[in-house]
Order: sequence, then structure tokens, then C-alpha cells
Amino acid sequence: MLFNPRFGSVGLVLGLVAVMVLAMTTVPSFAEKPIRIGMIDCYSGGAAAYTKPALTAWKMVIDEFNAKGGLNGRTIELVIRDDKFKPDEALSHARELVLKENVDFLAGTINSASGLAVSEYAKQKKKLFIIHVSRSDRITGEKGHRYVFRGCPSADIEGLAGGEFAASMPFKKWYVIGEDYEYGHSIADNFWKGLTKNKPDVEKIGEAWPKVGETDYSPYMTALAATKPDAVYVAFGASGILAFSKQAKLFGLTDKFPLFAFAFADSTTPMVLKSDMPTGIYGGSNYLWYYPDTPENKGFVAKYLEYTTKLGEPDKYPSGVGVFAGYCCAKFLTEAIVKAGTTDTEKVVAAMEGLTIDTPIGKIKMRACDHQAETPTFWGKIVQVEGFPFPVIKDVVTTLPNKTMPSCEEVAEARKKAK
Amino acid sequence: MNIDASMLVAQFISGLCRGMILFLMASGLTLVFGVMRVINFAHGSFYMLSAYMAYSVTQFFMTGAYGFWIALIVVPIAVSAVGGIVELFLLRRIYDKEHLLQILLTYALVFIFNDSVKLVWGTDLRIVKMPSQLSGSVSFLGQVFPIYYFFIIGTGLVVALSMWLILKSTKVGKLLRAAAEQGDMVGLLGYNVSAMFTVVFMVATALAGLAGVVISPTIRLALGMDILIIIECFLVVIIGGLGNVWGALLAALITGQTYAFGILILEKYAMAFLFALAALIIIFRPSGLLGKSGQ
Repeated sequence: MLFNPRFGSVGLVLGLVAVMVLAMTTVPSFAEKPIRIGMIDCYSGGAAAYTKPALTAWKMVIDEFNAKGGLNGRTIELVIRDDKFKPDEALSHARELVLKENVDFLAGTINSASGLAVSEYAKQKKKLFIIHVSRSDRITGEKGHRYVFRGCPSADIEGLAGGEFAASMPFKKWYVIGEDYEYGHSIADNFWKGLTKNKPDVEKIGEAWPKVGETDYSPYMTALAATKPDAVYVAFGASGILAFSKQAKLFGLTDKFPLFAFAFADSTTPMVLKSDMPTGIYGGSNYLWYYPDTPENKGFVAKYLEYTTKLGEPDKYPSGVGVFAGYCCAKFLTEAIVKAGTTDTEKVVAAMEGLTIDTPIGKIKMRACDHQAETPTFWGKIVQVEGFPFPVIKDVVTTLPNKTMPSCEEVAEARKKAK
Repeated sequence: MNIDASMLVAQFISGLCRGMILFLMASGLTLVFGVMRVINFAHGSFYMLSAYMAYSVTQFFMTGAYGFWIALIVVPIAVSAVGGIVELFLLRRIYDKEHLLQILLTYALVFIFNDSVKLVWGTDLRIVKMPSQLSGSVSFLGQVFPIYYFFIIGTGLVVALSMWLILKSTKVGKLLRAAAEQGDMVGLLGYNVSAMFTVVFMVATALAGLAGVVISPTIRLALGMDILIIIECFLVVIIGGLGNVWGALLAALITGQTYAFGILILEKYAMAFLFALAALIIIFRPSGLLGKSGQ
């Protein structure tokens, strides 16, 4: 009898301590269960020159989001996987990320085929998947669905803008040389569509399709030169363009013929090529670190430099294909999560449809009907300009997305046909 | 398209250039097969390794105008030392084993070298600067040609000529030819066959190293360049005849020209010509152009 109350109070104290310990460990960690984003991309080979900076931009946005307290204390963490540019590996990573790592969202891919494979899986599993580099127009076109979004331009945006820009030039006889894969054909077709729509009297006098990864383009260069075209369209992917530009300069093609290629204007190209960078060519980009010359853009470049300096790899000239695309996608996703107030896929999808984000080049909207970001395109002649570290576009021509994107009806029609 | 003389000359020269690089590669591959009976998948890896080494050497001597020339001498020697180690510690153990084991071993080396290059140089894109002495271009018959491509052709010719002299008129050359024909007999005569194997393998890797350095200023270095070249090299060796150096030279030149003129005829499908040629050879002359039948 004497013992019982004492034991009871000891028990009570112990119980209380136990509850407190439990509360300290489990309750807050429940509130702070991180939001997980599964990132699948190719981090080996030539593609890494674009995917690594894209990833850095994601991290910059996520760090900012986390520093502000995340979503009610829930921070974002990235789970990163390398697909080695192989669609089947991308797909198995997607499975593993969803089933084992329990990621809330999927992101990534530079390879269009990987993007399409992961997109199909995201559709089955009803997981939101946002694409940041892949360009194939099928991703948000005929193969698009409720759960896939793209924050970078599509091949039709890039290609049609290039074609429209080229149509303003006096060149009539064109030669097309491209890399023989999804992106190469897709961008060349769209370029040609844009060119012939705006200038019906052009003529294609020849074309060539070297295989992807080809190292020696010299026989192509001499064959091309012999056809004596007025201008050449180069439909090369981001890493193939480097070897091509180098050899084109060697063979004097860049002096003889006006060369057009989207990737020429991206800051990655001159930074890798250095003194081998040709001038007098025409290039495009979805983002230029020097244009528009606004406080917002300057601020972005400075912020990115500060962030990359902290990482030990200072980058003064953020690229369009990598950095800007990664930045936009991370913005779209984090802002949609905040707007939805939850990580519930259906609600975040609804929040992202029609969402407009502020970017260093102005507002960009995620079109609700096909989940394609409405991105502008910049084209122009690339020349050496006083005060710039490498050749840049001097007079920038901006093409707005309303001129380059297929209409919602066209997309709906294409999707219906594909079914 | 109007085909004129200047165009044919241009295609011929670019085909010659490609053929010479293929010869540098395929001669080593076929030499190793002829003397040692080893199918060396890792031959392309030595080529990739030396291209990356050339990058590091030229970066190191960035301010000097001679970085490339130093690389041209140092890198093949360094790579051949790596080749020597591979032969001494790995290949030597499997000569008497079946071909499948050899293929497994050399194929494993492909992965090991690939990952090693990735560890050391990373996945960033690398460009090797062209030596300033050869960076211009010449134009003749209305076509522009980089001087550097003539340097490639010259290197190929020099190597072919020295090989011919060595194999024909030196004792080492005679021994090599004998070893390729009757390996056991050479051993019985008291010559150290295993030391000879090491030397042959080192020479072959040095040739791959030379090819890697020579090609490096014209391309963009990337992982996977080893696999791309090795496929074409095997085609060349098949066309030329397994184990035959002159077959490799002839086949490399034919392959280069097929590629260059294939582009002129059917620009969309240039690669198909090469495979069609290899298929025809396999069907009608399985031992290759200069290979002995019955091998």
C-alpha cells in the first residue's frame, strides 16, 4: 500500500518522459517529412555539359525554397539518378524512384526518348513529371497527358522561330545537315516548316544525316561545300554541335556559307569551344545572359554566379539549354506546390496548369491545354562584340510563343489521332 | 548536284584522311590478332585514353606552342606502357585459354578503362587545341582544306612506310612474321616468344595511342569514342583479312573512300555502304581481301 502511490508517480514520470521523447523525435519529423523529387537525367558523356548546370539551377531554387521554410516546414530534397542517355535505364530508374524511394514528383531528362518513356510511366502511376531539357514535340503534343509538363521550349517552338528568322534573310538555296535521331529530325522539320511558311520560294538543294556521335564530318563538309548552297541549317544536338562547329571552322564553311543552328547562341558552345568558336554564324537560344539588359536579368546572372561560387565552380554566363531551363522547371514546380498548399499530385497538377512564373526574361506561363511552357526564342547573327568574353548575338530578334506554338485545337487533334 | 573534278578530289582527300586514322588503329588490332591470336576489344580504349591524355598534356603546356608536339611523343609511350602492364599481368594468363575467355577479359577492360577515364577526366566536354603551326587551311581547286588533315595523312603514310621497312628487312620484323605463321617453331628455335608478345602488344597500343593524339584536335572528346572507333576497326580488319597488316591498310583506305564517296552518291545513307561492303566480303571472301583462305 505504501509502495503503490510512489510506484505510480514514478511510472507517471517515466511515462511522461517517454511521451516527451517520442514527441521530440517523431512529431516534428512527421511535420517535416521532406518533399522528394526524383531527378532522372544523363550525367555522363557530352550531355553532362547541359544537365549538370540544369541540376545546379534546380538546387539553387530548392535551397531558396527550403531557406524560406519550405511548405509548412517541409523542405524539398532531390533524389538523383543517371540514365546514361538510355531510355530503358530512365524507365527503370523511374520505377525505382516511385516504388522504393517514394518520390512525390519526377523531373529531368535531356534525351527525348527517355522523356517519353518516363512520361508514359508517370501517366500510369499518376505522378507529376516535369521535363527540363528534352525537345521532342511529341512529349507535349501527341503523347502529352495530364501528368506531364515541360518547362523548356519544344522543337516546334525552337524550329519554327528559327525558320521564321531565316525567312527574313535573302537566302534561297538551303542545305540541311542534321544528326540522325529524334531531336535532329524534329528540329529540322520544324525549321523547314517555319521557313517555307514565311518564304515559299526557298529550295532544299541537299541534305545529309550523319549518325549520332560521329567524330569526323570532313566528307560531309566537302560534299556540302560542293553543292554551293546560299545557307546551311545545322540540326545538331547540344553536344554534337561542338565537334561540328570546330570542323566547320577548319574547312572554312563558316566563312563561305551562312550557318544556322539553334545551339550556337547558347553560352555553353563558346565556353567549351573557346578560340575554336566560329563567328558570323546565326544562332538561337531560349535564354541569353546578356539580353534583355534589364535589372532582373542582371540580378539573375549575379545570383547564379554567387551560388555557383559557393559551390566552388563559378559560372558567370548561365546557359539557356541548361541553367535557365532547370531554373524555370524548379520555379514551376515549387510555386505550384506552394499554390496548391499540398504535395497531392492532382492538386499540384491543377495548380501548375496556367501558372505564370517570374523569370529573368519576363513572365512565362504554363499553357493549361497541353502543359507546354510558353517560352520566347531569341535569334540573331553571332559576332565578336567589344566587351564580351566570346562571340554573342549583336541584334537580338525575339519570337514570341504565340507565333511558334501549335494551337490548343491542333494539339487536341494530334492527341486524338495518336489514340 | 553537279559533280566536278574539284569535288572528287575533295572527297578523295577527306576519305584518305579517315582511312589513315583507321589504318593506325586497325594495324595494331590486326597485328595483335596475327601474332598473339587475341581479339582485343580494349584497343579502342587505348585510343580514347590517349586522346584524353593529349588533352591534359596540351592543357599543361597551354602557353607554349609545343604542347601538342610533346603530347605526340609522350602520350603513345605512356599508353604503350599501360599496354605492357595489361599484357604482363592479364593477357599473359589467358593465351592458352579459349577465345571466349579472351573476349570476356578484353571486353571487361573496355568498361574498366571507360570508368577510369570518367574518374580522372570527368564527363565534361573536352576540346584539344589545334597546334598553332598546323591550324591554318589551304585552298586548291576551289576547295578549302585544313592543313591539319594533311598532317594526319602524312602520319599515316610514315607509319605505313616504317612498318613495311621493319617487317621486311629487320630481324625483328622477320621474327614477327615467323611468329605469326608458326609461333611454336619460333619458340623451339630458342627465341623468347612471351617477351615478343609483350613488345607486339606495346607497339599495337602505341599505334592506338598515336591515332588518339592525332585525331584529338579535330574532335570533341567524349566517353564512348572508344566503342565508336572499335566497331569500324573490326569492319576494316574483317575486310582486310584477320592478322594481315597490308590487308588492314588496303581495307582502311577502301573504307575511307567508300565513306567519302558514299556521302556524295547517297548522302542520307552513307554509313550503310560500309556495312554492305563488309557483308559482301564475308559472303564472297570470308578470309578478307588479303587474308589467306583456310585461316
